[in-house]
This record gives sequence, C-alpha cells and structure tokens, in this order.
Amino acid sequence: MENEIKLAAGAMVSLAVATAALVVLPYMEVRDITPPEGLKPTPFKV
Amino acid sequence: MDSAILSLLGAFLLSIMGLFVFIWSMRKGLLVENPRAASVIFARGEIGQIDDPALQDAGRAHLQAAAAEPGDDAHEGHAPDPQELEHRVQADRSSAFPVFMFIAFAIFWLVLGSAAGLTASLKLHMPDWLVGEAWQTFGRVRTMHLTAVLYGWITNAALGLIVWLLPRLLRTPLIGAVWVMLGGALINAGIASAIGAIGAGWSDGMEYLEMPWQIGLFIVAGFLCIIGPVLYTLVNRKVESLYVSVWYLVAALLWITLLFLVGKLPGVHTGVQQATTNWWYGHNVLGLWFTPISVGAIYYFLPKIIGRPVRSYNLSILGFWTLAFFYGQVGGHHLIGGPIPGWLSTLSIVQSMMMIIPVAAFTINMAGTMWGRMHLVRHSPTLRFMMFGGLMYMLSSVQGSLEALRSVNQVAHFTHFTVAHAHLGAYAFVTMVLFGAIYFMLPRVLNWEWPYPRLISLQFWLAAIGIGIYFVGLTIGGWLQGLAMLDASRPFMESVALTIPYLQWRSVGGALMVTSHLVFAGHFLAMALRFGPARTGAALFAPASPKALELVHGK
Repeated sequence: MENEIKLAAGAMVSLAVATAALVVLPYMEVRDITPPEGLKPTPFKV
Repeated sequence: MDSAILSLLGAFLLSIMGLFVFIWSMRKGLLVENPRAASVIFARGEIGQIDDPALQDAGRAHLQAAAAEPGDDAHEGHAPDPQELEHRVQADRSSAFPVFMFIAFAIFWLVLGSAAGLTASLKLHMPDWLVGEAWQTFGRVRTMHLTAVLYGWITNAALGLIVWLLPRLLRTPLIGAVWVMLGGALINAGIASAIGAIGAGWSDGMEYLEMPWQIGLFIVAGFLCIIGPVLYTLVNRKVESLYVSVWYLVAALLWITLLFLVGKLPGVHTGVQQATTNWWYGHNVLGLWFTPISVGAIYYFLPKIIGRPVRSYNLSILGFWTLAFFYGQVGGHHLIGGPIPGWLSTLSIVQSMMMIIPVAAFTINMAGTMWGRMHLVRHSPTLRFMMFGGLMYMLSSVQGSLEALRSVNQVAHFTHFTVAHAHLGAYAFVTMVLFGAIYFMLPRVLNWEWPYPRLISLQFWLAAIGIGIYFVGLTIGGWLQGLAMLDASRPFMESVALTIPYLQWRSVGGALMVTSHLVFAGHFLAMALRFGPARTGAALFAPASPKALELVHGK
C-alpha cells in the first residue's frame, strides 16, 4: 500500500459507518418517543 | 419496514458487496504473497540478522546463532546497507526526546494507576478500609485507576510508540518534534487534572469518559498538536511503500482523536443516545486505539527481532480493513437487554462474531512467521513480551466475541467476569506488548543498555503470573456470581458473598502486577540516570565517540 489518502479516507469511512450505526440511527429512532409520565431525563448541567 | 427485516437486508447486501470485493481482490492479485512489501522494515542485507537491543552482546550472539537458518549461508558477507542504517539513526534521533517524555509519563501513570487499582481491589473484600475521606471511596479510586492506566499509561506509551516507529518506517526524521512535545504536555496536564477532578467528585459520569469535558479540551488539543507533525512527516516521507504498522498507527491516532472529540461534546449526549454513544466510544477506545497500536507494534517488532519478514503482508492488510470495519460497531453488545433498539444489539453481536476474521488473519500470520522459530523466545525477553501479547490478543478477542452472544451475556453481564475479560485485553495483550516495545525502544532512545537485564525477565514473570492469577480467579468467580444472580431461589447477598475468595485472589494477582511495575519503573530510572556498567553494545547504532554516549536530550 502506498497511498496515505486511501488510509485516511478508509479510516474515516469505517468510523463514520460505526457512528451512524451506534449513535445517529438509534438517536433518530428514539428521539420522538416520549418518556412515561413522571419520568424525566436529568437536565444537563455545566 | 420491520427493523429485523432491515437488519437481514443489510446483512445480505453486505455479503454481496463482500463477494464482489473478494472477486476484485483476486483479479488484482491482492491475495498473492508480497515479500517485497513485508521486507521494507529491513535495510538491504539485513534480513537474517536478529535485533534485540534489550540483550547484551553474549545474548545477541546466542539469539543470532539460534535464529540461523540454512538459506542464510548465501547471504553471508552482505552487511546491511550503511546508508539505510544512517537514515534509521537520524530517524531515531529526531524522535528521541519526545519519545523519552511520553515513556517517562507513561511509567509514572502506570505506577500511580496500578496502585489505585490494587487499592480498589482490596476495598472489594476489605470494605471498611480507607473510608474516612470521599476521595478514598471505591467509586472514585476505581475511576482514578481507570483514567490513569487508560489515558496515562497506555495512551502515553502508545504515543511514544507512534512517534518512534513512524520516522523509522518512513525513513524520514520527525518533522515538528516541538509540537509533539507540546501535545504531550497538554495531554498529561489534562490527565493530571482529570484525576484530581475525579478525586474531588467532579465527573461527567460516562464510563471511560469520566473526566469533565472542560478538561477533555486539553486532551483534544494535545492530540491535534501531535497529529499535525505525524501527518506532515507521513506526507514528506522518503519511502514509497507504507508498511502495515504505519496503517495501524496512523489510523489509530485519527480514530482516537475523533472518538474522544465526539464522546466529550458537551450537552449533546442525553438519554438512550448517551448510552449508545458511551459504548460506541467505550469499546472503540479498545478496538480502534489500543488494539491497532498493539497489533501494529507486533507487526514491526516481532519480525524485526527474529530478522525475518512477516509471513503474509497481504493477510496483514486484510486484518487491518476487517478490524477497521467490524470493530467500530461492536460496542452495542454492552447494552444487551437495555432499552435500545433491538437491531442495534443484534448488529453488534454479529459484528463481534465477525471480529474472528481479523483475529484469525493476525494469528495465522504470526503463527506462520514464528513457525519453526518458537524456540527464540528463550533467548529474547522482548520477543517473549510480544509473543505473550499476541497470544493474549487472540484469546481476549475470541472470548469477547463469545461473550457478546446473548446466552453467554445473560450470565456474564454485570459480573466480575467482564472485569477479568477487560484486563485480559488491556493488560495481558496491550500492556505486555507495550512493555516489550519499551524494552526495545529505550536503548535506542537513550543510547544506553538496560543496566540489569535479569530484571526484564523478573518483570515478565511477575506480570505474567499476576495477570494469570487475576484472570483465572476473577473469571471463575464472575461466572459463579452470574449463575447465582440468575437463580431466583438464592438471595442476592449469596451472589456477593461467594465472590470474596475470588476477589482475594484478584488482589494477589494485582499485587504481583504492581510489584512488576515497580521493578519496571526502578529499572527505567536506573537506565535514565546512567546506572549499571557503561556498556553500549546493544545501542547498535551509537557512534563510537564518547560525546555520542551522552543522553540524546542532554548530558
């Protein structure tokens, strides 16, 4: 193998696939599901 | 459409694509052996010559004699190309100072982090010990251990390895060493701050991502400072062919930076998505950072020590791409049974099983390379660490694949079994490889031999026996714990009480590992402070003048 562009591009594509599968798609699937009455997510605090 | 049908359709399409890729690779000759590409780690005339800087002259002679093979007679009298060796010397010198800095930090955090780990282990069967202050409680001590060893030890050692190996493999001096050192300083400032913050109870509360995001900024900035010089050196290299270790090391550096950046984005990850992101990061820090670094290291050091190219270069490339594709998607198996989409668990289980492909590619390749040469481990301590680590990679990965199956996960999840598995990967595989790499690198970095070679063997056996006791004890205890928790007729406390003898064995194993780290750190200090006989034999490329015997970074 002689091409560093293929290396960087391949690494990014594989990570993008993993991110889509484990982060983006689950988010899209559950974002509209409302929690049961009385159950609220902990608000984010800085 | 039903998510199960979508999963099956996706798997079918992937299989078809895989078939076409396979046919294409056959037509391109990608599966044909490629000995020229496998030999780029050697200078012309160097194949057949062993290389272990951790050995003294007599040890090197024994290893060379043991490694001699019939075909070598034809090469006798052919010395390695002096110009290529000079390039290697220049490459080593260009990276010496940053590498020394990373290794010094790594060893510091290793001692501190493993002491915290042993403390946490003892507290599991001595719960009334050290309870006077909040920072001494199990939850904080265990998390400080985790941060110190994952980021402090493994990440520093991995960065040292990258910065040392790449200039060698690219035959190009490191460009921008000052930026690399700035990056190292930022990362270590971040680690120190993170451990302090966790001790004080300030945490983001995600596993492996406990450090507050404000401190995480230091880590990201540090990685960016290191990526720049690494890529610049890569682009300006003097060789055309990129050895497989370069692929593993460069990809790993890009992956960890992005993983950490996304994982620590503030205010973005909440609810179910936070859990999936947590394990997207949590498993990828092992799979796309620690694993490629260690596998890349073995692909360089093992052939280099025995003086023979790796058996199949193309198999190593296959291993890289299958690891890149499959490993990124396995994290969901940590959430089996959790409130996440069912297809996500199934996808991660399937990809966990697919991980058998890169592991098999690596194992077959290493077995082929070492075939008929296994006896060399008796002569080379560095090779011993590498082979031990390589074998444990196979075991931990196969165990991890099986552990992802729902039937096994049902018992093993939420038990000490998982902790044993994590240490099989992070310690028996990754840490042992890093020990071996440091034993190889430092004599070249410091132009000085390891002063007390027997300590290398002592450290190996302490660490190997320690992790052996730790793993076996905790695996048995964890499995029994899981079975007890699944049995509704047994009270919960029974599942806790039955683990105590196994937790005590864990502390015994942990104590041996900590002792091995103290030996390692003491030996490192003795070397850095120029203790021991004034030998330079193993510092192969040290020029003969006394000035050259000075530390590369000063007198």
